[in-house]
Amino acid sequence: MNYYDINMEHIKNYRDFMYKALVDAKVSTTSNRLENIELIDTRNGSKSIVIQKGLNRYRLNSSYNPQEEAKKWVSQFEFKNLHTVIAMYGFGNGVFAKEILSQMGKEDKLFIYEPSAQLLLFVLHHFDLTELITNPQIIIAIENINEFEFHHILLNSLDINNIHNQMRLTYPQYDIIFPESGILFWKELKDAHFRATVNINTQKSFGTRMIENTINNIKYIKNSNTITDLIGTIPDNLPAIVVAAGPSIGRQLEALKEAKGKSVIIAVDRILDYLLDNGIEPDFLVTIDPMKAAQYFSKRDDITIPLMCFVESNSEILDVHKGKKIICNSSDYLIKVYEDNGHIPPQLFPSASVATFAFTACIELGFKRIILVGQDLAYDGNSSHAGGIEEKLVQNNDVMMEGIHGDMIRSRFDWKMFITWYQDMLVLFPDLEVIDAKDKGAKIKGTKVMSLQEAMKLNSNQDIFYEFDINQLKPTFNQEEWENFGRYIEESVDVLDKIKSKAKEAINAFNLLIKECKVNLKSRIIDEKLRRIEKINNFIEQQPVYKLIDYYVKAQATQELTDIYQVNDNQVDDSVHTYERARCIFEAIADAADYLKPELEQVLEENF
Amino acid sequence: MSSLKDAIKEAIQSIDRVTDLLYKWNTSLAYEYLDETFRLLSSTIDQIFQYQVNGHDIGIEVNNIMNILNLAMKAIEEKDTILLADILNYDLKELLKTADTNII
Repeated sequence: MNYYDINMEHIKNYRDFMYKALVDAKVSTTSNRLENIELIDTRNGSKSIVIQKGLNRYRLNSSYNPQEEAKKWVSQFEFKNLHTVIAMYGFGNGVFAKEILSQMGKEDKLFIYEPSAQLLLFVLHHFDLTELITNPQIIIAIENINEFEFHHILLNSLDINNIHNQMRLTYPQYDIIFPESGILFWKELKDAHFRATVNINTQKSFGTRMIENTINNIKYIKNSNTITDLIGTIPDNLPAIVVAAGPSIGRQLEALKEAKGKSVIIAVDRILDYLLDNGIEPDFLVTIDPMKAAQYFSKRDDITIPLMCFVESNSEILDVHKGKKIICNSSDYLIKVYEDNGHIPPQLFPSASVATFAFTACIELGFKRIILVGQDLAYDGNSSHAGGIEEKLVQNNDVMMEGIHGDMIRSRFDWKMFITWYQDMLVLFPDLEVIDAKDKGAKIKGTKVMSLQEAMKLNSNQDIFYEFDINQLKPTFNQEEWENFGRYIEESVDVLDKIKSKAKEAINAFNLLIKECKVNLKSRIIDEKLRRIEKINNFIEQQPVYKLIDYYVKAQATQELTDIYQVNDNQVDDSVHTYERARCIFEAIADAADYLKPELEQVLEENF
Repeated sequence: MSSLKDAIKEAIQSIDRVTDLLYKWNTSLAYEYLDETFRLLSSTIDQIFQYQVNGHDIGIEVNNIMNILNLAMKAIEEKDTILLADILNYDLKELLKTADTNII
């Protein structure tokens, strides 16, 4: 087999998305086309590349010894930290990536973005890339082919453990040869960093609140259903309408009234009173935010419309709501109790916003056509929300975005992230038909823009009038299973004392380690204590209640978690640094056990 | 002939420093050092020439060095950073090493 066949065979076996994209691609229409690509025999018997873009020629590798050149180039970077995310602009012929790979740790990841599909295809024909293609630590994305993978996987790879351990590299001269794509590359990195920062801040600020909500909301699980219970009970051949709270909804009210019964209307928490005031009763409501102020839900106290929520959603809103709760995410802590009783634990994940989550729920329920209403993602004058509401943010984060009519309109950075999220979903679910029914607002690429009335005319089941009584559904847990649920909580309470005493033992062990490593890094005591701590850690992590503790730890020890994998050249300092941070984490675990015990005891007393 | 050996050694060190920077694409600093490297090379070539005029064979031709330097100058003109690094690192340095070995 020639190099191309070997490489493509590996891509087929190891990179499904990339393989399909490559097979379907029309490389002749991709961006960053080159006038010429020249393959040169190097003095050390290898190959190198010279390319021509416009009138300029660029030597991408040494024509004497490309491997040695790569070693020298890579030697300027330090690969000390653990769990490092390396992003590189430019693949070249892969020789630099191979050298980076030889320096990477087992937990590191390398994201490579190649702006020229033409060049990469050439490289596939002339170089053996087996080592790179078959390595799961490497993500290779090619512009106009599978660039989505770079965007999507990077967004989901940065977290509390690696946000401070990022390396950003540019293949020599790529910033000069392909400047425009370089801007996109850096923008992607910036967006991923921003998203990770938001997520970490969310974990930090929501941590204890999520525990409180979980504990307070357990009582609602008794009569609840999961979103999985709903699958097949709602006619998915009707369109689903996701009603968000953008200003344009005021112009869609009549059409929404007409759509009632001919579609499944799912409204976000914030728009509920506005809809009810205008005589529209949605079929479902959605709330996910652990801290959303109850005033944003409803001023009414008789809301019985089924509420899609998380166990971690703000319990004040669940308290105000009187109807059936549809649990869409059980929290990690309760996964086991669902499974132990033969139920699929609901595990829909929070997405960018409550509206995007409603969209996720529609996909889960099997809807093929989803209509977005009031998902403006832009200001209308100064109004940010329906009813002329002007939401003032502490920090100005205005951005200009393309509108549905092709003009540039004022939006916000968080709304821009939601747009990106929708666009990603449309790539991941290509068979989904999504209609954006606003008459003003930001463009979501991949959606069809039309009025709600027009969208409803597409419905071939116009004669069907849908009415669904959720109360006919039996709750997920029967009485016997609910008693099992109680025992599960009881076991959690029982194990908390043990977790606390083991965490204390680990703290003492770290105190000793800090002293010992300053004297003798190779001391036998260090090995013994580290083995003991590992056992303690495994024990704690295996307890189901650890999932609750984890929220607490992430909130209390954010700094320690983000720093723990950072190291410098001094082994003693590194060890002390790591032990001190790990000790803080075990201190947070002990505190969490203290905090949780009386709370869970109260749940038992009041509900079982 | 320790002064010629010292001159060659110094020139090689200077080439190493410049090529290291060029391979790392720290071009602005590399070009700053390049003037100094060429000054050292010029002086070393003069000494090699004088050494040969005095009847010593050191296994290289000054003309070869001059040809390589011309290629290096062309690479600079064409802003071919990697070719410049390769010429200095492999061609020129090898010649200087040969000379160094043959000096008694």
